[in-house]
Amino acid sequence: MDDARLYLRLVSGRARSQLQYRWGFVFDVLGATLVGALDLVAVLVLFSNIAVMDGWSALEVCVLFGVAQTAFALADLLVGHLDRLPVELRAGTFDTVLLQPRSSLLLMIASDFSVRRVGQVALSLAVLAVAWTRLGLGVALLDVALVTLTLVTGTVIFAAIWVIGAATTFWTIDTMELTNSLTYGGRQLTSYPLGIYHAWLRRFVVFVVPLGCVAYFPVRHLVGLEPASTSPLVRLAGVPAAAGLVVVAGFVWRAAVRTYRGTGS
Amino acid sequence: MRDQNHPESSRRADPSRAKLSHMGTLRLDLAVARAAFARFASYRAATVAGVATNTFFGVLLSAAVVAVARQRGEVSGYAEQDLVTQVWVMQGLLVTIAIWGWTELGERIRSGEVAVDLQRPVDLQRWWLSHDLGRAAYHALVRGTAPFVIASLLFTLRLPTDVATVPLFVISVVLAVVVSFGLRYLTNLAAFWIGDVRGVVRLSMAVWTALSGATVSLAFFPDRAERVLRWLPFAPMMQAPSDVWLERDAGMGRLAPIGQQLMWVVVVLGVGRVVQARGVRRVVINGG
Amino acid sequence: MSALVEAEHLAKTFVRRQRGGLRQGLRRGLRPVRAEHRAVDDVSFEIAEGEFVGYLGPNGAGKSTTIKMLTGILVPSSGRVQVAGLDPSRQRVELARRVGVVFGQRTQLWWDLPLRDSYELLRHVYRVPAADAASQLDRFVDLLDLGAFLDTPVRQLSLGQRMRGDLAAAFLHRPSLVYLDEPTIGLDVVAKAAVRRFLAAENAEQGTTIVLTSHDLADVERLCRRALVIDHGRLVHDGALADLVARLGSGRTLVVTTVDPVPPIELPGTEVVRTDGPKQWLRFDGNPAAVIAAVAAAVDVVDLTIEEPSVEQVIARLFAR
Repeated sequence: MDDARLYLRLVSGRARSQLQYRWGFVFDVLGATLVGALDLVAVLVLFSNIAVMDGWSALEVCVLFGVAQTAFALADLLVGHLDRLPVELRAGTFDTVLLQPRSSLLLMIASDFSVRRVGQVALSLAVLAVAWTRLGLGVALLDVALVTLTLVTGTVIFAAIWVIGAATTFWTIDTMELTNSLTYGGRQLTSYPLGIYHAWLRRFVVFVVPLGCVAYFPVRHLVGLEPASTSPLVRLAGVPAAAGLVVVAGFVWRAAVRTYRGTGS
Repeated sequence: MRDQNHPESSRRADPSRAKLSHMGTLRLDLAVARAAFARFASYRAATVAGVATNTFFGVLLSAAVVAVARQRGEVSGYAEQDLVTQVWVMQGLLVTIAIWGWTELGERIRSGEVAVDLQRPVDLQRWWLSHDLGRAAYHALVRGTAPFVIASLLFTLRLPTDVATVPLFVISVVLAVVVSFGLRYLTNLAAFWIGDVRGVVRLSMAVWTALSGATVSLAFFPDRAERVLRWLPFAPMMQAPSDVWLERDAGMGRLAPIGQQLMWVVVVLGVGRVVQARGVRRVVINGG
Repeated sequence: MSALVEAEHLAKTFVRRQRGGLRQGLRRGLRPVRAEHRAVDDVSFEIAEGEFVGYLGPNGAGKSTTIKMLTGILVPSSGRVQVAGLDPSRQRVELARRVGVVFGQRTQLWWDLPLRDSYELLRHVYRVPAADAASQLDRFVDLLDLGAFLDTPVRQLSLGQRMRGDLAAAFLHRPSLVYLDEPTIGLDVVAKAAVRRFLAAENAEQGTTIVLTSHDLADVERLCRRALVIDHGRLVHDGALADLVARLGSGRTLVVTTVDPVPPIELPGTEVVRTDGPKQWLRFDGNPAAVIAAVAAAVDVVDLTIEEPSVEQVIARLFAR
């Protein structure tokens, strides 16, 4: 609880400092939102050629897109700045974090908060809402709860992968791009129905790096595309995936910091 | 994306000034390009990570492309194999033309270091163009070809049937790099007026990526949009070279995309010169 | 007095992977090329509560590696450390609450926020009760004269102001031990004096133990009663700073400018180390007043200045013996 309060305090400090550069901030919000909008354009352009993709209509894919992109944007908002960890390691500023009496991961996550990414969250939620309404899906309590749960677990999955990827740069400084391929690539991957991918890739993103559990299974149920034979538990695949990844992320981060403290910069 | 801004290595790219007067300008261009090549060749882990990233994205984009093509048979005259091949040619082009986040010149303008660059007895734009061509040569040879080679194990990719395609493709890639350089150079020059160009660069790269065919081939766009997009300076960076590779046109028509690229090279470099002259005058008047 | 810091046979060895060309890189895949570097080599010392110790040595001698082991950032390769009864590498977080650190080159303040906000955030990081933090801050405003810029964003502060701000940040949570790495680097004379006054007061009045690393011998002379000198990872001196100076002489240099160039001045207890036209540099160890009087009596003097030796020069002489 105390950690959560500290997080909010530190993050609001960061947010305040970003709002000082007003024009740069406005520009940044617009830019970040536009990036998200262009991803949507890509989906719509593909669908201008076909009516259904792997059995999914354009609006159904937009629901999937909305959920996946919201989860990604939230994770980006919370931990996206971990991309800068290699720079901090080079400059030695990570030592300052280790000198403070708090968890180094907490302090690193709280060390920034890019308010501009709020624009992307809003845009993705808007896509979700519009597609949801036009499909006439209604607001059954259970459905809304499932969407909320999916957004939470999806965000946690993306964030944990980000942390794991950032932690590996303690060992190999120059490989942040590899992490980006899992996070930004994960956004691309989860925005389309899993069925379009090769079987081996599907297995990989469900059982190894559970990006496939971000949005696909619950949304498939919500838009009414779940095969009748599927167990309802599959919709909740994101829960064990998120929980497992959090454990792995904590473990990898601790191991990485231990290595760093063993070898120094 | 991030391996282009190491301050410690930017110094290495700077051959000693004392030697300049003895060197021909073309030899200087080559020296700058060679230094840039070596600079980027030194980031080995980044190269491996980059190839893996391009390959992963290539697999994802191929799946989406196949999903559409399977239903339609062809899209705007592109068969499934053409579209998949195009995805992989473009994955190689992405890093070669450095569509992502070049802010080095902008940072130098902001910090005032550009004053040092301007003192060199060599044109600023020409200096950076040589540097960029050296960088592109490395990226084309290593990061550009690797994803295509890996992909040819997973997919049946289209190879050129005509020998002439190979030199045409090389020319088209070089022109793509120059167009991309010209556009990036222009956005970086904005630093003379607005200081921090990172926001502008982020914004413009998002637009270029979407409108060049990089995320979705222009073939998928509605016909009218496709025709307009082919006349904008973005298609020459991605769509044009990949069309040359796919041998889209026959006979003299194969020179058409290259002609279009040439036109944009003249425009972006020319406008760059004008804007640069104005920016420099601004610095001289305001004293940086 | 009890020992606050105990280091026994402390050692840290770094293994560096050699960076070579592409061919070496390929071979490295099979057989890594490794080179060992002993950054700290069998160092033992104790620091009692309330001491003010200078930790000196040339760049790369192992100073910051030692400090990192004492704070728990780095785990020792061998040997034993205990700080405030804690094992730094195992109890880093607990220890951090009782330790303050200032790196002259870096800041732990929030760049874009007013100075005051940084203290508010640090108060929560270190879990300092509000009333306690307020009284500390009041004291620092007096001692360090922070009042004028407490509401200014840190990025707009001068170097001297920022350093004062950083000092207050390091002492805010009433640490029992503070490490200072070059706290006066780049500061002008007035700012240096303010920093020294503050440190002396915190040490004398609050009983805070302070370990100071500096290239400025005047810092060390004015503040530290004891000096540890490290070179090539080994502890080469541990004792009163006065002893070190007595052993080596103060090593000051008197720069004499005469009306006309004269032959090298010969005086007992001095040595001409350099001449340049009418200027001569005399090294001496004794009382400056006596040397100045003797020089003035011997030649027609236009100008006299005294140059203080740097820590490097003193240490270089330590090894010349």
